[in-house]
Amino acid sequence: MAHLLERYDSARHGWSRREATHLLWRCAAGASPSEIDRSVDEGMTKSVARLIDSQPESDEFTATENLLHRSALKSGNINSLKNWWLYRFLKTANPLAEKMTLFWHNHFATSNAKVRSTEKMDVQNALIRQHALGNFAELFRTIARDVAMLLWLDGNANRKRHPNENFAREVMELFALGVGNYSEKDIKETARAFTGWHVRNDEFWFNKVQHDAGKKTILGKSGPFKGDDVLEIFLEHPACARFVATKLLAGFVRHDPDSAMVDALAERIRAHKFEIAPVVQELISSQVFYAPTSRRALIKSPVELVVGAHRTLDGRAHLSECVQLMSDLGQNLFEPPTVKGWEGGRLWINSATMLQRANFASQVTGGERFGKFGASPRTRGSESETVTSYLDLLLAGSVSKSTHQELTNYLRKAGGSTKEQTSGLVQLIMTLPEYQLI
Amino acid sequence: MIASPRLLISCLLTAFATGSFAQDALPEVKQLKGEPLLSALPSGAVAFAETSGLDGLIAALKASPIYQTLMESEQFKEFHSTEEFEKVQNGLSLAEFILRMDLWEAGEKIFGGRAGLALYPKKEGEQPDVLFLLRPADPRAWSKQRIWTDPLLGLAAKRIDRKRFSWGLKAYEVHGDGDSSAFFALHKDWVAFSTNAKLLEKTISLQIDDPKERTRRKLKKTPSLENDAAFKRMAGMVGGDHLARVLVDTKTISKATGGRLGLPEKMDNALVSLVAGGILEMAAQSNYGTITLDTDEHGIVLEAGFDGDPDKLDERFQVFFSDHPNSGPPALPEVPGLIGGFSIYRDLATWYKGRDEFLVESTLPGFDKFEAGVGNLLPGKDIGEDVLPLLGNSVTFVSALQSYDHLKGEPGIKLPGFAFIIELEEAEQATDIFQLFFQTLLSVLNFEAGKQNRQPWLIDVKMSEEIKITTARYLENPKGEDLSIVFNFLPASARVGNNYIVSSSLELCEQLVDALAKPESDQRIDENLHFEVRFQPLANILAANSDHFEAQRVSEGRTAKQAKADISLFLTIMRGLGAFSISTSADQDGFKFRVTGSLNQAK
Repeated sequence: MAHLLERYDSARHGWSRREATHLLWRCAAGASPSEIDRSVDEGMTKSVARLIDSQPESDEFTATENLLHRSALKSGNINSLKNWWLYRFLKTANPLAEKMTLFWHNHFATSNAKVRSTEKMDVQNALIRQHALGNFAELFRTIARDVAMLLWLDGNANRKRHPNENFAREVMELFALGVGNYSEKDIKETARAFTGWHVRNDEFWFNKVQHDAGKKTILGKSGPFKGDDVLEIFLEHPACARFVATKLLAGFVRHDPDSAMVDALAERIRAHKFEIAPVVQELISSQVFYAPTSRRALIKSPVELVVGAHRTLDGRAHLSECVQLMSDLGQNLFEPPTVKGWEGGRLWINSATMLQRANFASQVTGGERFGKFGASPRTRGSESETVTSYLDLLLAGSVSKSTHQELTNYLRKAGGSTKEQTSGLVQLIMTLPEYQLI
Repeated sequence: MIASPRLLISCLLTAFATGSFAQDALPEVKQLKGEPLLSALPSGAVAFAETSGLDGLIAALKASPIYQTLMESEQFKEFHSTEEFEKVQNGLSLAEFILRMDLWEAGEKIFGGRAGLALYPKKEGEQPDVLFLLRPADPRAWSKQRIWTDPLLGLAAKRIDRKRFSWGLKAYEVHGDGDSSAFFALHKDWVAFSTNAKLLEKTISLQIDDPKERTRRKLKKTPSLENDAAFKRMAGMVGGDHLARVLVDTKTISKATGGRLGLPEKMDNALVSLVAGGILEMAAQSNYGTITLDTDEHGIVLEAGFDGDPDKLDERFQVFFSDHPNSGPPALPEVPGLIGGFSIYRDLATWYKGRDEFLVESTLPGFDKFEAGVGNLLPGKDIGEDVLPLLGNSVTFVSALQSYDHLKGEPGIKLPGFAFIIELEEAEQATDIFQLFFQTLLSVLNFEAGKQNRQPWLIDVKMSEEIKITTARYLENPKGEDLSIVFNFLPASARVGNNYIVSSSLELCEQLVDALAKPESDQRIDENLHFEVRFQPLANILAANSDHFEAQRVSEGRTAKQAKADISLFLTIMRGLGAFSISTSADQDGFKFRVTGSLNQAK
């Protein structure tokens, strides 16, 4: 199994713009031409290290991010907080950390629709970001006591004489173990262990009076377990590492990872004691990550679509409009639709969202609704070469000969200035099925 | 309205650019320069507009600190580098090349004189004819254009009536889209343009005072607009000395548009009906309307009005008008940090009861919902029967800066305090009703606060100048520098004589109690509505929230530096302004609408 995660031999198999683009699209939701060039020059190891290691942020980023963050908290407006987060995605020097923050936000799905507090959602977001590339176990322990999480999962309703199973069920099913790895009795017993985990004065409060201190039997273990004890039981269970591995593979490699791949990655998670950074580093340096079957195997989420276009085409985003677009495409930051989060994959694409993606492409190349795009035309010697240049920029790979020919024919027949012609070409490429994949 | 706007614009530009004048001076041309143009345009118009002496305004604008600030701003420099600016700049450069002068100078020398525009009705369904007459402030400037523009004019237009219109006066025709044509005449002292040849001929006749000269050019003596009864009356009302004035024969327009100036008998918007229902009814029945624009030592004044008498309107419209004199609403109370507000006279109870006479059917279900909603806050009471009859005829709204002594810190977003002052007919009964409303509302809000883990309110009572103020205080005084926006609110209410104050801020309520306790607070303004904004305190509250606005600009795609500069420029301009007000009044002389704007006089 370990061979599935063997290191990709870039010296032997090649490290070109294709591999660099594949890495950066998967880990940074897109990259500018200069970033791709740098990655090609640096090679895989340094490119991966640059993504994993914390990079210093620019002064402009820090000043703007602070301004947006402060304004969002002052106003208590969740939409302002969404704008702030999107700005981070667009401009941070640590895009992988931001991707992992979104990844865990989806994993520990909590929605402001019920929490109704920008401040609490921000606290949770900061907590997730702190541990995004840190230790999953620590994140798991901390987020179980997060105020927004407890409000979301009706923690205050969980009382000694009337245990509320909501929190227990979601912790087991969605955060730690996955479906099929526990019984209904385990849920009931777990709910008893979490009784008294309440919120009071906007803080976590262990309400001793409402806690059921009796003996519980959970996943074959017995004792007067409290909530923290139960979390440890889950972390030690083999299903936990497999569950996290499945999620990571679905997020980085392919939507439907096979059992062997999951087991291999789960073994690495346990070996690294749930430290995510080295696990992700191994994963994005692995053969399976660069395998042909893994290229263009993921459908771009709305965040990746919007962020990717701006990063690739040097855009200055209209944050509010982009946030609304992402919501219309099915990914409303801070407001996942259910406790399961955004299921993603094929569910990102339907007739309505494809039309909206096409409209986005039209606006990117011909309007200013979603921002201003400043990328200069990339004309080359011939129309065919120009098409290839844009395909290299926008797609991590080639297209079929017939598609290439059609794009070349378009460019040949297109009137207008060079800028108008290349804008039209970019719009066509952005509406290709291949563009919706990374 | 114009059949071919492109035709109009091209003709005007051609006319401005050419000014082809005869070398010979015309004998005894009536020196109408400086005189109002009503006597220089033919009768029969339905609308007339005139500007006079705009050179002063143009010069003042150019020299104004606000204009200088705009031109020196980073934003204008950014605009400089855009394609749109390049297009505009090219157009302006071409115009300056043709005019052989800078456009500011052209504006002063051209619009510094008098310009008049009139509309003349045609058959039903057809666009009215347009007539334009311009008397430049400096005709000598025109004569300098001839050398450059005569050849251009020959290309653009066809000379007509060469025998009649020669020797110092030339007439031209320009063909537009389809069958449309436009006509203009050029003289050394004036330029005239029209979409109708006969109108142009009449206008030319009116510029020539000498009967022999008219005969020689086969022009008949023609009555001017000054002789039309409606315009004579309107001109008498407003006078001739204005920066700009507009006179409209609304009676004729009404006839042509099926009556009532096209205004509906019933509104589809309750707020519009409440604020403007009576005014619109007066307008619909008016014979004429006027607008004037002037400047005084404080700033700019725009006045509009139409004839009519509110007492002669149908009985039901009396709800919108006060009985004169001195029965209008009270003036805005002067409180520290006053940002502005409005004071309005309305017999709200009668309007509400008779709403189906003012509003279309489709709006009425909204009132049922409103009553059901308010009913929850006034258990056992009906708003139409139990509440509104207790109210008097005026409502005042004020907004003012507030401090945050009730908090141990400040909200992140700072809002001004605001308050309504409601005149009461039955003070004791009304006070009880409002208390009930206040109490119930607080209970509902506390339920919500509990759900969201926010501080609930407790009802409290304070005394100010022997007046009891009912207020709410937080169970625990919130602490922090960026508290939630809800902590701007500390509701308070009080009755002072026949006035009931409902305020979002205890501080503002106390200030209003002080203000209303003074004898001068009983004074009424001789207006129906008064609205006012003071830009200095408004700028202060906006500045206090500047980082929020900067964040909004960043969200729209600006960098942090650009956003800061945008907000800074906006505040600088705002601080350059003084105050803005709108007021309306109606009496047997008609309806008047007055807008004033001033700059900040402080050094």
